Amino acid sequence: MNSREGRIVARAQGRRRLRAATVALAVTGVAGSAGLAFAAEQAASVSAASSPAATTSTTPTTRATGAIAGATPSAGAAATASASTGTTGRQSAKTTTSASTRSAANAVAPGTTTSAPVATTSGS
Amino acid sequence: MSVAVAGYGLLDHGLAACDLTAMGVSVRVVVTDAAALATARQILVEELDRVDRACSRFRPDSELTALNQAGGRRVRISALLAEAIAVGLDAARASGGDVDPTLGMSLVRLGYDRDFAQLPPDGVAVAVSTWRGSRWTQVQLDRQAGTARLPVGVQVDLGATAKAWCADRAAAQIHDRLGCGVLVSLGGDISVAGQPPQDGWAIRVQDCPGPVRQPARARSAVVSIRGGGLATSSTAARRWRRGGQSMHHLLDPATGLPAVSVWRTASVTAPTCLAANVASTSAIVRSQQAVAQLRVEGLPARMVSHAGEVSVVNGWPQEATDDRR
Repeated sequence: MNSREGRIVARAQGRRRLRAATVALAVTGVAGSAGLAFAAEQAASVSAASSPAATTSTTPTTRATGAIAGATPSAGAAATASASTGTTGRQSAKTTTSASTRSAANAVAPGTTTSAPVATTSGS
Repeated sequence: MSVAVAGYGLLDHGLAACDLTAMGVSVRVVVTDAAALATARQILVEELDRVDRACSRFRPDSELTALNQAGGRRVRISALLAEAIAVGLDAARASGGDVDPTLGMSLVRLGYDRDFAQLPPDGVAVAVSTWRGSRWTQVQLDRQAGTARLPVGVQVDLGATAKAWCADRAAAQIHDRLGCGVLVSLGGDISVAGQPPQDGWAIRVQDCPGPVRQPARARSAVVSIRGGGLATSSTAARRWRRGGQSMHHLLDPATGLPAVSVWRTASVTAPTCLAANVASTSAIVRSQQAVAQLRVEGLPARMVSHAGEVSVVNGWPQEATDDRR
């Protein structure tokens, strides 16, 4: 990366830091797409079929958090949390993560297993 | 679309799997009913072909190529491409623009202008140009009329969302038609549907791509999911060089350049593979802010720093290394 690109990256990171809070993914926003009605149905079925292990929320690990600025866990991550963005010129959004959204997300928390893996995920 | 069947296999607990290569990635379908495997593979291949014809940035005959080359004109598009673009725009909205479907020109400028397997490993240096900023809000999509128009100079790249979306669609179709439990993996974007195996779907999360039959080449963990999707985004994947500079495919919409992130890899589970992919891609782009944001969202995630340190949030299991390799 040359110096000009470096400055561009630095400016972008500065703008990012200016945001009061990052926006929420809003699973409901994605799944609520007209073309993805099946996703909501799938989420509902997942919720119904979730295992006890999948619904257990654990305290986040503290490993490596020393390198993560601003990553201090909030007290229990309130069931309803709003996050608004600053006005930096980037696309901004204001989203509320509802209790039902968090419940759906918790329902798909992975569990531990001793079974042999049947697939891999590594980024593509 | 070129599809090559790499193999079939019977797994533990009565599961059956088929491996393919398509869309430039490794593809795997696993079903809980071995008798359903052949039909499941056929359903998957047909879905891959439909999505590839509509959404490929590299096929000269794809609908997306025609749209990208329209020079600002309104173009009639199929319902499938309209849905794919709508999904990409939804992802941009939901992520505050961090997952941006209008970075096609940036990828071309950085040298990613053909199927990744055909990219030369290095090339001329990338010329710095003035970055005009994100333009996904300027895409005009009329799903009722079946038309789309891109601003002049903008190209859509659906690479961030199309595979995950396709995995969700394929898994849902296979389950709906065959009734069995199914896992579909498109290059590691994993969607599951139907009744899972007794212990869930065991998935190895790893830094370096590789088939499940081979040992992981770097730190890995095995987790199980029972529904929804699991996706991983990584700056270690799809790397190339231009002018001696290393590039990767996860671009920061704020710069149009490969994202500079504290994270090498982010894995997320969500009610759909698409939602998981949007969150994992966003996490890479958001860098230091990713963990705090994931906590707000409540999505379970595993993040690996460039030093190999692992952080987990929102109920992702504490690290359990894959001792089966």
